[in-house]
Amino acid sequence: MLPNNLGDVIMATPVLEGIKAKYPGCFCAYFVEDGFEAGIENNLYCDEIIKFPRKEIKRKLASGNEEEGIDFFKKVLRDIKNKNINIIINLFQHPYVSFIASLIKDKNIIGQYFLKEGNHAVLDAWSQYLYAVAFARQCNNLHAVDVYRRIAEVKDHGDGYTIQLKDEEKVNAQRYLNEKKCDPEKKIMLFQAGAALSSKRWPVEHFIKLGSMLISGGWQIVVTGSPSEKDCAMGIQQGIGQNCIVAAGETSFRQSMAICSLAAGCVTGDTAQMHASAGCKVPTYAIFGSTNPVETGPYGTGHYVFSAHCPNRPCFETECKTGICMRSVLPETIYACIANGDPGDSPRCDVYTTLVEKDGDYRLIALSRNAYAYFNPVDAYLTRLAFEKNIGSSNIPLSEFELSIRETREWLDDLDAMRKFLENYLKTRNNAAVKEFERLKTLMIRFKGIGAFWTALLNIRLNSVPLLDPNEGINKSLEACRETFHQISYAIGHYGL
Amino acid sequence: MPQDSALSDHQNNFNEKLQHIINTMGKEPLSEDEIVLLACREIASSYSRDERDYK
Repeated sequence: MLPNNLGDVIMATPVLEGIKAKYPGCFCAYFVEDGFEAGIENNLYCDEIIKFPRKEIKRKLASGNEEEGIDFFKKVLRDIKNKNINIIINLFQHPYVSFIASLIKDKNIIGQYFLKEGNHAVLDAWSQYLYAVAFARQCNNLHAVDVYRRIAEVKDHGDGYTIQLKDEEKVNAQRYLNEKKCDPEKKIMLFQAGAALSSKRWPVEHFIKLGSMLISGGWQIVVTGSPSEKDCAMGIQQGIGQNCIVAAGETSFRQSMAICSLAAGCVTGDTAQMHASAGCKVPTYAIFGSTNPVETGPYGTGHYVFSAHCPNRPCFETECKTGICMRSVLPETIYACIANGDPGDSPRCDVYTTLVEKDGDYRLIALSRNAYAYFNPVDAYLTRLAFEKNIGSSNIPLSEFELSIRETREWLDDLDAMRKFLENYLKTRNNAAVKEFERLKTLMIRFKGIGAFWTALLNIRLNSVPLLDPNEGINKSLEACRETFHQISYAIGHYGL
Repeated sequence: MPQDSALSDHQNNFNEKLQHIINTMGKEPLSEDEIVLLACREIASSYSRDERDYK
């Protein structure tokens, strides 16, 4: 289950491939919202697409006659239940899917689900990791796909997304390009200029300049996008002049993917088209501003990522008044990578190439000197070590661990004190002990480094405890504290620190 | 189509049921029907990126 955002749906495809490799005879269904299925259609590893009519249910609920919406929702649920699903893997973090997971099955759910006791629970370790990352991004060096694969407990995959286009779709795309007088002798560079968030958009004048450089180098340009991005695409076409085709507003996302599969490259922001391009194994030149290419970059080998040389990234701002970071990625730098495979000696932005090892993880490799890292390597190593013991030793000097170890030790001291208060409550039934536990828990927000990740992890576990029976709740909270203490102690104990 | 007053009754009924569920949460296990109502409340306030107004 990862039902919406076109890019997110594509990011779940390696999980399907991994599941089929691990359980060859299994039947795999993908739960997706109506209208977001383009990235999963025709996928070899997906036996069925379960389209969930969320918008239609929402519309009926908002019509004033809620009963109609509720009855329709119940019917949809019944149909899904009748499929006798054995295991649910919920990768989506919105609560509405958590409720649905629980309504479809009462056990064997990986990821978030709703307890009849009245709270949401995330009980598997890697889903807890996924949820904790949002509170301490500097502690994570894993791509979302690689976290999803760990949640689903699958290792094997190819070297990227799996997008399958029918021959007919490619033929239709070629026919469309022919009708647009696309020159069959010239290589196509796809431009995806629009993006959902303004902070993800590269300036139109940069697209125009890059387009002009490419056309001088013998390329032709196709600008894709949704109907709302057509004006922007037309502006680029006007700026470039000849050998630039506007497909924006004329094609579905699936058709854009088919056109992309015929291209020799794609220049894009952090968009669904970026994931589609990487999935089509088309060299992708991805420009990142406020978002994080470590977590959501073009998954695959040999793509390029460009981002501002800025220590505050990723800021995750949705709107940006200055646009400085996107503006600082120059067309010349991207052109150098397209033409020579290298950004040259002194690009004004940070440039990376992507690598996915077979059955391994995605990583960014810096091509420019002094490129900022998107994560703290020590914190990322320690948090990984707490979750997987077999990651091998790090080549980071021991002295660099000092700060993170000190913060972790302080954090563990707090956790140990919290544990003692719960044990004290179970012995004495004195409510003051629980209040002290809560007070210490609140104080944990003071940790800003690796402690912020540990705090998030602990809170996710404590929030997953069913609270209907107070005694059971305290016992399970105590269990969560002990488990977390041992897990983190192992990570720092590994170094004898 | 239901009349305005009938719609209003439906709305009140739905909200009352929801309020009852919220009041009893943490006190007794929720039934499947109650979880369905909570899910509906989430769906009613949910949106995907294409439904947002970014302008």
